[in-house]
Amino acid sequence: MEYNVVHYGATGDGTTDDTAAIQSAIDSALAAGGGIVFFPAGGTYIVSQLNVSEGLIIEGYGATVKRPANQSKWTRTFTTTVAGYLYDGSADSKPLIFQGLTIDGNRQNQGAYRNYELEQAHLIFLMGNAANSGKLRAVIEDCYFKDCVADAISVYTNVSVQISNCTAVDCFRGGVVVTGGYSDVHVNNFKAHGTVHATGIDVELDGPGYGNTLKTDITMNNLYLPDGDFDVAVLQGSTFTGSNIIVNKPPFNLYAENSTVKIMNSVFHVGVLDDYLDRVVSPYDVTFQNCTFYAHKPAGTTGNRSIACIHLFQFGNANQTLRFLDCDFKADSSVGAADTVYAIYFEGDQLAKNNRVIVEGGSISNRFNYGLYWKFGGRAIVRNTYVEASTCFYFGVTSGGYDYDVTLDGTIAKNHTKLLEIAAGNSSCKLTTKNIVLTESENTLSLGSGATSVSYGGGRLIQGNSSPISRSVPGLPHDVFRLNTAVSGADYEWVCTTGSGTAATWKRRTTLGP
Amino acid sequence: MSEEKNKKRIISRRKLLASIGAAGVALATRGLIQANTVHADNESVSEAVYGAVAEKKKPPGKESLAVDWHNIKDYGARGNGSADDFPALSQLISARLSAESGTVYLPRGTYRIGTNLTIPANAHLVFDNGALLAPDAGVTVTIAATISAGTYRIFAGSGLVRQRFR
Repeated sequence: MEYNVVHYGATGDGTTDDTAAIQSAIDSALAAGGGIVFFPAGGTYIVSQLNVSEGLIIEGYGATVKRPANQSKWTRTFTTTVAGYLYDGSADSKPLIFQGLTIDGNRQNQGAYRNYELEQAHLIFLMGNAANSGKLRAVIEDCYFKDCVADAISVYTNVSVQISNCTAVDCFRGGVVVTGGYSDVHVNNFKAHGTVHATGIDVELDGPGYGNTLKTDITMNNLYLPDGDFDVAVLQGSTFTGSNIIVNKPPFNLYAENSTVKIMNSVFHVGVLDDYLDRVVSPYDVTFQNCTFYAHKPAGTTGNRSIACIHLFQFGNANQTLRFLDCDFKADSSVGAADTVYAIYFEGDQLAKNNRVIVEGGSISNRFNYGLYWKFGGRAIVRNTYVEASTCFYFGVTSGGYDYDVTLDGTIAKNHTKLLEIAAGNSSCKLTTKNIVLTESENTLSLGSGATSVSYGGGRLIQGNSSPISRSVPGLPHDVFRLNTAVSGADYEWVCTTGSGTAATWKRRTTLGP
Repeated sequence: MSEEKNKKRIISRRKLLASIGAAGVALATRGLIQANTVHADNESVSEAVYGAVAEKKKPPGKESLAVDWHNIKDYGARGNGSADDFPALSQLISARLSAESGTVYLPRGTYRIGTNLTIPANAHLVFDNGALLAPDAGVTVTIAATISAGTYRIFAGSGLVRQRFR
């Protein structure tokens, strides 16, 4: 049955407070076990807070629900939290459906909020009672959210929600915000943007759901964030999968402690290195596939800055795997010539933690100062990746277990000034090279103190026109130097026995027969 | 049913009441006239009121037109916002809607309802613009009937209105 809010006294005139009238329509529907609460198109319905529950279809194509001025922090435009409305079953509820509404948070007339004074003043707040095993089921589709001082759609504990074809603009804390455990959230065809607030997506699980868990599963597909702010922090065995996500500005933040994150076919623009937000932290099981990462210098950022597409913090956790499969790293036009740009910047990691980073395929453009940069060590495999960074691979200072174990397999480096820079390294450090063929001009190394202690597995093949002996040819132990043109009866191959960034020691390995 | 036809029916009934005189009106408004149907067609008044001829005729095709149309004011409702119109509506329901379906027409006015009331599912409520059903505080009007109304307010008062389909 349809419960027309106007029949119950709502005026939709944009001035009169229609809260009580609309609540009457809702309560009438709920008393019947649910129904369509219908907002006629063309009206602007002034509403402070409406209590809603399972079984309702809140339908308002062409209608606007707007907050009055100066609402309190705890006033949510639509909320499921009030006693008598809060879902607390042991099985999942009937759906609560929102369709077609514009919800206007009237941000300009709410007083101070930019220091989170009004952080709970959401437009739609969903939760189920965490004491029970059932979830509040909800569907939000074809809705438009604007000018909110908190979250457009806020999902807390014990919720199963499908959000599709919605737009959020200038919502202070985000378009879709997930903060509760024991929920599942599915977002499709969602745009969040704004000139005042980027809006974006915010997943920050801090409210335990049923079973005292923060675990929540999230899928997001076709997500468009032209003004940035992709902030996903999951933990305790949560899963986040996403595809076709475009984030055109920073921040880009991902935290995945003991959680799985799989993101495909997406584009992210990532900000400055010392920004607290632009980080990848504790990537327990994280894969990016066929994604492009752009280094981006936010408007208003002054001075020459360091910018990293991926700023990785293993954060002391163990057995974590971060994969980049067929991903490209680039810098957009916001980055200045004097900025220092990194594709992947590894903060310190101890080998004993058994974390690994796998970079497979893809490319790193010539706009980067550094391709892969290990500040204090870490374990990684880079395979079949095309690298054009100024310094392709940088290995920083190591000590106290913060050592590196890196395999470069089939990597192709071009247009670089320095292929490898090893600032230091002790006997716990290991560099393995496989399937690497270089011309002599591409073989540019910089080896600092201690690099001779590094264990070198495998060997690179360097191709030149004349013997490396008695001239300065850089090399790593086990490298092979081979002549481009074989000459019968002459020396053909040499092996590096002592590495050097300038003049390595080479010993003859092969002489061709007549 | 078209608006035009509705209007005809109302007019026909008014004409009818006028034709049977003051005493007849009193009887009619108390719901004591036992004819189930007031036909808004070309039958004579006497046929309509007394039914004798109508009963005999009963062409099958005409039965579908025999839909009740009950103006709440004909049953004593005042619609002035102060008198309690519960008795009138209650009586209309028991007299006209206990056995068969019917349309209840509420012309412009505020109909105070002072006692809990259920309008059954076999009714069809038609609200004129400006017609308000207004339960008192503490009173619940439960409507299982279908409702016809434009986009205007039809419920008022401090009590509760509960729409449900059964």
